[in-house]
Amino acid sequence: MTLFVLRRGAGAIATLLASTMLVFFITFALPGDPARAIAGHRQVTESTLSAIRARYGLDEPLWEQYIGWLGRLLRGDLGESFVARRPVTDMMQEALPVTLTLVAFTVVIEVVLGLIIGASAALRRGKRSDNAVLAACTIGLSVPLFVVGSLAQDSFGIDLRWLPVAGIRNGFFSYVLPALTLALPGLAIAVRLVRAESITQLCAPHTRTARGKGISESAVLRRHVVRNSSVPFVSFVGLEIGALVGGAIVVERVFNLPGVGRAIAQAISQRDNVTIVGFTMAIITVYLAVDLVADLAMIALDPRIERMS
Amino acid sequence: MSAIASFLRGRLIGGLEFRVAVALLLLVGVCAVAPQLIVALSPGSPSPTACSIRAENGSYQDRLAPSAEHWFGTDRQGCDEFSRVIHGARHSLIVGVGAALLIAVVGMTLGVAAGWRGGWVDAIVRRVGDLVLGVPLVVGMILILAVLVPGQRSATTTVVTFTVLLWPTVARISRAATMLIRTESYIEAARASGASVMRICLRHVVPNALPPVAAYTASLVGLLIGYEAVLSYLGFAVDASVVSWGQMMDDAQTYYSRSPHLLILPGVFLSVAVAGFLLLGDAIAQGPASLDQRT
Amino acid sequence: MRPHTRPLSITTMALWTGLAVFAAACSDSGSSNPSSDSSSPSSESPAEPFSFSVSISEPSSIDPALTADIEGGQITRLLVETLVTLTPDLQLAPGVATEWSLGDDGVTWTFLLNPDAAYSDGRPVVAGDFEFAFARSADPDLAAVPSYQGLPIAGWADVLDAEPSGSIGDVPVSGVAAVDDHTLTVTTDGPFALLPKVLTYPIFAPLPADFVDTEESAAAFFDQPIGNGPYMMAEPWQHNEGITVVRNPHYPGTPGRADSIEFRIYGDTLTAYKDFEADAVDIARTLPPEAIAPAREAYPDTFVVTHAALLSYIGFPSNLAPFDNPDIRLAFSLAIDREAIADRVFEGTASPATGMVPSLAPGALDGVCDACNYDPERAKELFDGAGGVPGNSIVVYNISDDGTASLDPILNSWRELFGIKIEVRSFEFSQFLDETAPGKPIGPFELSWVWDYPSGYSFLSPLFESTSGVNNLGYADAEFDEQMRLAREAADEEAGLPYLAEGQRIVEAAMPLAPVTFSDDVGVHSATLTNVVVDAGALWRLELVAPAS
Repeated sequence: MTLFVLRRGAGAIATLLASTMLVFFITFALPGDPARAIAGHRQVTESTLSAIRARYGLDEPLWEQYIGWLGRLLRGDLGESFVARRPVTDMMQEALPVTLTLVAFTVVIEVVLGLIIGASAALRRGKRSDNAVLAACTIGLSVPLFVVGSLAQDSFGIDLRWLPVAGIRNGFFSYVLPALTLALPGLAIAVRLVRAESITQLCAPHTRTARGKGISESAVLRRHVVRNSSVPFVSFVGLEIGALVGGAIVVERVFNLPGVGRAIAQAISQRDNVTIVGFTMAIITVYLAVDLVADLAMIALDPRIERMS
Repeated sequence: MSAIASFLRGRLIGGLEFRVAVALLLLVGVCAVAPQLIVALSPGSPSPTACSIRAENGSYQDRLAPSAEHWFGTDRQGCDEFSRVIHGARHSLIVGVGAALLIAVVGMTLGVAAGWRGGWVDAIVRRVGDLVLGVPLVVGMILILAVLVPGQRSATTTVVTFTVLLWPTVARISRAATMLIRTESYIEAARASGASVMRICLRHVVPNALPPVAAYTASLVGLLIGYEAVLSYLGFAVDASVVSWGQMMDDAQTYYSRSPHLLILPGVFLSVAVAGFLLLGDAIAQGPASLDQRT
Repeated sequence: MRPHTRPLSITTMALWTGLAVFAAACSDSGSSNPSSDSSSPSSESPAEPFSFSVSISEPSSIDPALTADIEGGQITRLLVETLVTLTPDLQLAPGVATEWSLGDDGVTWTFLLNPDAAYSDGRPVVAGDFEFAFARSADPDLAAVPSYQGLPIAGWADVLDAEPSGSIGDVPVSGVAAVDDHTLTVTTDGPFALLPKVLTYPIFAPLPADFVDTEESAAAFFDQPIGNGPYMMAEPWQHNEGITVVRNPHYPGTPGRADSIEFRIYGDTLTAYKDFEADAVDIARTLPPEAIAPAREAYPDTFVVTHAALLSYIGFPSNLAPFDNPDIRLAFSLAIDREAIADRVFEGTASPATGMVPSLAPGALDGVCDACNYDPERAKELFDGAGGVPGNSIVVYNISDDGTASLDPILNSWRELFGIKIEVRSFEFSQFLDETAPGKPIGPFELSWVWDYPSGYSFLSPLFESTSGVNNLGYADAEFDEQMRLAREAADEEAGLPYLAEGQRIVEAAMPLAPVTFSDDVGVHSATLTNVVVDAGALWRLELVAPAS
């Protein structure tokens, strides 16, 4: 087990380094002069533009910039944003908790509701409520996130005034609409997954044996399905977190949450290279960490997997 | 390919999901292939892009609600919305289907190669795949589109972007299927009898990998259509002469309270297209798991 | 698998319980307003402390030397006071300087300072603080974007163009001198009648060197600047959340009416408006177009329209065919239906442009720009008469993050009227500036311009003067340059107006750019507030806001 962790850990670090190098070079190769972007459409003198470039080392060759960045990174310094003139680590400290809260909240919704609805649907397979659930899942996956978000914002936030429309001023409640919106596609997948797993379990021989002994189907579900379907479910959660990061960008934009996704989208349009690289690194790190944890969890649940990899 | 034929004749065609999927896709498909025919049904057969805010008589004709004259109303520039919604299908389908097919081809090639050869080929494919998967999709899309096209997003650049970012999953599926079958005795027999690798791959390995890949690819089209719309929302607009649902929805969402039809109508059509492909993928997945040729 | 019917299983009970809990949570937040708006004074008597909240978007900076956008400007102008200030109708008024005069040489301005002027910590303002502040604003180590504002001052360009030395504010600007603690002289390179107006910009606010002499204090200053204005920061800037200011007890002038003002930071104006409707913010400073009609209906008495000094235009590469032919430029301009754009696309947040300079700018001339009207017949005549465009197609540049909503009607008009093909090249803003830098664009481009200080000169000179670094129109006219020089060197601003007028006549006949709209700012405030004043520069005079009785 320890060997597995070490091997996977080393692999993750290698992947992280390679990904960030890729992102770094892509970002700094982005066309568009950051100095001019910062200056805007004003009569800024050429000397000020050079001064801006000098201040951020933008006139050095790309390799040198990368080495410099890497060096600062090892010291825990992610550099200073061109636009906001603040350390990227500060911006990250503000943005990361918002996104993590949103994603955590969303995952909880997906897992809990996924299990409940999926299992219920399995118990009622073939009946109208089951078909309704399946149709709802398909719809949930088909409608684009920003459309759902806008509609939800409009109905629940403005017309009904039940929930806050945007920002994080209202603490817990600020995350309700965004999390529900973001959870929709993942929930649809989770429900189908749980339902499929449950049905497989319910059709399995050991279930027939249990039925023969007089145990109800829902009792069977509780005893066997949760354990046996936990592996694909954990795998799903691991993959889902990666997808959620992307969805978070859209949802954060709709609901104006000051999280990592929104920061990245803004930074890209402002050509704020340092911020882009810093935040992307954070996302990739989190993603790889979650992936590793998910793999470990899967092995813990089913040791056969370790032997297969 | 009698196995595929029997696969098609089996549970696939009979299933409800398949039928619903086909119905939805036919609807969208007709819009994509022959939009003029459908638009011709509406009064005036208006073009989707030749519009003006002011009508001939000087009154404003933008953002009108649906009426007998304009079945779906008009949009912000005065264009007939029905015409635009129908014409919008083409762009989404071209990007979605085109990208998915390219992803399937690239992914399968790499995945089968990795699964068959093993060794360093496998290691490289897996490592690069992990690297690509390590970058969150939306972030990757944003970065690539900003670099590849310092201006406008086009169907081609969108397809390339999707392919670069999404081949690993197809590769994984193909690789797994290949590895499963590689050790089968009849494969050994075929190799022993001198059949070339290419022939074995094409006759046995690929058909084995095809069902899961096909299922995933069909669903993928749906996802890609959705992601393409998100790109418009995030600000990566396509050229204004291309009619795109994503762009229409992005423009319309700020007017939702006053002109809900401008967001809902393209949204419905987009969702129908996505749903059709998702259901198709589901239908394929429920077919037999493998085309086992031993029997 | 036989479907079975049973009484409620545990799973189902869990589902319903979950829904019930969820519903309860929802209705809880509905009955009590989730946003605590203790700042609303509707239930308090006027003698009680008064404060209110305003929406802004995240400023790029609130350090006076770095302030480059109006969001930052809103805050900075409460925190600092410059030598000269502007009244709400943009007339010059005393600031830290109680009087000022121009010497006989025509280039030396003398300012007498108010001995009671003080910073928020009680420290008095002295002339030497201006010397340091100016040196800091010009210093290439600070790399401040607005630093170009000081170029008319003698010695400023030398500081600006020098190599970065590593420390900020170490090289003084030779044209600025503190005669004594309460007398300051500023010398310009050549006669410049508009200097006092230029000096109202925040980068010219006073700053003692020891407010920023250590690394910590310099870093802290960025998030919590210290100044001599009517208000001071109550706490450091809470990024992306808000900024709170309270009254500066040491300010010698008229104190601000509110004890404290809370600036709430929003990522987009629609969200701010939704919060306003939910009573979570008292002033929604900028409304998005889609909220304008509803807001006008719902809040008719507290609806505020300000004419901002922002010109949106289509620039032509006037030195390249086919746009070097003035008839073509006129034709393209006459084909723009400005009224439709202002009414429908901008929905009341803009007015059709009637000239190169927004009407409210001192020196603006109305009714001279013939080509600023919509005349499709004449446009077609001119177009055909000039022989059309080569290949019957042109390239147009667009900023993609704004979308093409304002550009589309124009392109549609051109396509239909002239029968040409148009290739639209969209870029992110940063690349767009590169692509539309002087000498680069090969076709029309959509841009906007806002003044640096309240004068038509601040439009005409940068846009059209041949020596201007942002003149990307390929336009040069010696006669026009001459008019600008005369306006600059006039005895005072008043005397320069006729030259500005003549300059406008020249460019409005040549049309190197087609003005499209003048922007209007549309905002709305709560009925609990009164005396809400927005000046002609779109600056909300928040120090004047009072509670409604």
